[in-house]
Amino acid sequence: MSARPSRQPGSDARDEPLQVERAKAGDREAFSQLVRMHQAVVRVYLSAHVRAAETADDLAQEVFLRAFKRLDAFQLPETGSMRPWLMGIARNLLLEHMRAPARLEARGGADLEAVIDNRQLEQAPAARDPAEIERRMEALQSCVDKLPPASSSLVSQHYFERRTLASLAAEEHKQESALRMRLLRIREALRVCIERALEGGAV
Amino acid sequence: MTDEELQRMLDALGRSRATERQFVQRVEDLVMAEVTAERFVSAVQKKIDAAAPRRRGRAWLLAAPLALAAAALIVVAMHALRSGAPEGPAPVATVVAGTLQESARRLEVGQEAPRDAVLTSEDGRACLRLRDASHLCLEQGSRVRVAAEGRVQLEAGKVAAVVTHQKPGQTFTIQTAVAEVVAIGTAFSVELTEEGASAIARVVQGTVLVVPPGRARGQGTEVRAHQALAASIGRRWRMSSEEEREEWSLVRAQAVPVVTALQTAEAPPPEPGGVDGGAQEGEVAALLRLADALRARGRLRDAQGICDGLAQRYPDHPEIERIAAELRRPPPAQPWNATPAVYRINAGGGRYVDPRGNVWSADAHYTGGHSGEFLEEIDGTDMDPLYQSERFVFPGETLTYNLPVPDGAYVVRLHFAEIWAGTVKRNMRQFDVVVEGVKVLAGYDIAGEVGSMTATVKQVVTTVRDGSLDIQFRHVLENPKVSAIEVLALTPDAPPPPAPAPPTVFPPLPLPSTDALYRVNTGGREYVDPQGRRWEADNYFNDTGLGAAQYVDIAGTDLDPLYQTERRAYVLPSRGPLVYSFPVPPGRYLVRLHFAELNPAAGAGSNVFDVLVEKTEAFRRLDVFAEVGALRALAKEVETTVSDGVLDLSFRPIAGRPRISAIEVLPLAVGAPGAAGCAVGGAGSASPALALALALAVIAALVRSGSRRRRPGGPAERPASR
Repeated sequence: MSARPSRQPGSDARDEPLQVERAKAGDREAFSQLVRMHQAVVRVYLSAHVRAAETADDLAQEVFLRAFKRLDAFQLPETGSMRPWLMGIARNLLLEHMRAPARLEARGGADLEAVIDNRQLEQAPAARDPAEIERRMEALQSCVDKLPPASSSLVSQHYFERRTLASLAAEEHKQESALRMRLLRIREALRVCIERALEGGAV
Repeated sequence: MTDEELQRMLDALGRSRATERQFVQRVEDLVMAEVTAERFVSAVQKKIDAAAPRRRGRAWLLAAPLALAAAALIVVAMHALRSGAPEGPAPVATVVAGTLQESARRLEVGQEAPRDAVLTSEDGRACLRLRDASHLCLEQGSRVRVAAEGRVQLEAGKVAAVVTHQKPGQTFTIQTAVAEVVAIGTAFSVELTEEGASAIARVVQGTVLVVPPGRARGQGTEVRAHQALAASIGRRWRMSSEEEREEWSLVRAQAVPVVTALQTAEAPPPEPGGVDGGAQEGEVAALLRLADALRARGRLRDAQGICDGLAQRYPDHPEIERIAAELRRPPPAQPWNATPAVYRINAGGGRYVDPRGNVWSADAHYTGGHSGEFLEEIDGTDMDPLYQSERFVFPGETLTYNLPVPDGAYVVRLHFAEIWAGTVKRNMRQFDVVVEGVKVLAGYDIAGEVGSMTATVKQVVTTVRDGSLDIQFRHVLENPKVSAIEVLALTPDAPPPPAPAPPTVFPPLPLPSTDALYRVNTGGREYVDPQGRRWEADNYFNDTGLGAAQYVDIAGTDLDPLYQTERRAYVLPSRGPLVYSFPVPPGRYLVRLHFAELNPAAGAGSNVFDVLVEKTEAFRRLDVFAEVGALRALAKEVETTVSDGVLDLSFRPIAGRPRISAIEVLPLAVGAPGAAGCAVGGAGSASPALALALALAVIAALVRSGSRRRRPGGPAERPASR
């Protein structure tokens, strides 16, 4: 019996339709792969609307758990991605979460976080819809990449590698306040870049 | 876009990258808990109707992930076994179904496994084809090593083999630390009990030899088709039909034609003890579950045999003694065999007194036919001798029973079991039965209806006008037969007695579950702690709350994984508080709750909650951080009494979110010890039938109310423990 060429474990990890099919068949590793694929955008979307990181992550977990429970009913759309579906679940969860406050207040303010979150949402200029969050994320990524090396490195180390300004300042023998100013300016540049990208302009 | 929004986005993006692994892990834990929650109904089923609930069902029927055995003792058994295969890392097997893990690699269908590689089946059942065309299938959570052609080491779990006919002098062996199973062209499986203390060999076709390590082949125990053997206690039993079905499904999974062959000798007694505590309990629990499964089918002798073997291996073991007392209890009286009868005839056999004290006469009042017998245990009855003997008749002859009775109406019960090797399946034996001139059974196929070695009873009503109740058995296919006949008088105003409903069902045994009824790693997966105690994956909670995890060291404990995962009440008022509900028999319990504050940045006052046990406040305003600080274990205990069959724990938030890392439920009442030995017999008491009926009613209610909800159903009442 001729042996089939052996498949590298990672090669079809990026093949979302394949992973979806496997996950629907009960392959939990495939489901975890899907979680990896989409966790960032779901978490970022929820974080945009909910102040506490812990709450955002709790909600994000719930999104995937609901997705898991509903896998049977899920049909992969033409685009071949489950992201829109996941974002739909995330948005519904956010709405549920926001309905909390009235009863919470009656119970004596048990969960201040939820109350604050809700007020935050009410005050936000425009609740962003999931697709827009995704576009902003992509724009942000490409704008960060296009920053000059020193700035891109600072953004990367502080936001992505989670290094404190204090430790970064110590390394560069600078004042923390100086780094803070730099970051403020970098963020200004990023915002301009992002808005331009969203309008369809060149980055 | 404001600067604040951008900062939040950058922050979220950074966090999602930095903590991707943990996040995915937490979702996996949640998914795991969700999957185990789907088995909640069957878990409740098993717990509600026993004095001391069982926590897991039959290992081979549940697809529950087996914890990989901690003990990977590979004892090298020196045998006169030629390997006959070349050394070197040459591939020795090919994956033909499922996937296997080999260290960090995943082996898919078509890929080859190298010799001596340790292969695990974490994702589900997986099968390998060996170079000699033999097949091996691993049940989920099993671990094997294919050492050479014809030699496989089973380290944990269960493997089924379909072995091609070996050349003369060659054998196929599955080695475990506790026994070797040698085959010469058969289909069989070997399963290690939890912790690997006992190997169980089950043979579907052919014969295997089970040899203790270090012994010569001649000292092995033969296990034939349809039989199973628990190596550590040296006991054999005939597999129940469920066991056989499961084994056949493994054979079919291999999709290979089975080649048969056979023979050999008798068995040495097992050696007692020398097994560590955790492994011992795993073995005792697994074998008692088997005994219970057999007893439930009326296979009392086989159940007794296993119990005896265990009692010999572990003398003075209180759990074994308790089960022995239970086995001594007579089975519940069936309403249909308590009535007095005009005739009770043991067709083909001698006088017999059944466990209810009914006397069955030796075969009489017949014309024609021959008697036959087969002395194997019969499923679905405790009146085995009735079914082990039969009267049958050759072609060209007729078999008739003429029973003198006063004229009147009668109930006739005909007892059957298919005990002959030549007619074990459907469409091998069919016959007609005529009672008082009326054909009451046409083309009746016993094996087609209930399978072989299983009791069944057919009941009809008839009227006699000539002083003789006549029953005739006529050929259709093969020879007609009958195992026993009962005739009961029908009084004019009384309704006929209920028709018998085989198979006889025996209530389950009160199996041991070590000291705790429940150990649950709330918010996390199944975990075996350093003392060998098994903590279940999160379960028994209502649909409020999320698992959370922080994989850091926890001070004050060596059970870190318990505390690293927790269930947090997700405070959505529409959902109500977080509640855990454990089905337990009424009694007194100790509840031990484990907590840890996983967020070092939380201060006193961030997470404060009340804990209620059985609707009574057990802990008011519990603030884990205030008590012990962050990342440190805290355990709190409270005693409670349960009278409604469900132990409820609820968590009422005051500030932040209630959270719980692990829960233990320990019974405080101790069962009464029974006398030593496992012999069945003696007078009975209580009413297990009532308990069973109630349990079934509760189970039915639970199933109706929808198995997805994790809340258990109504209360389960059980007569007081003996």
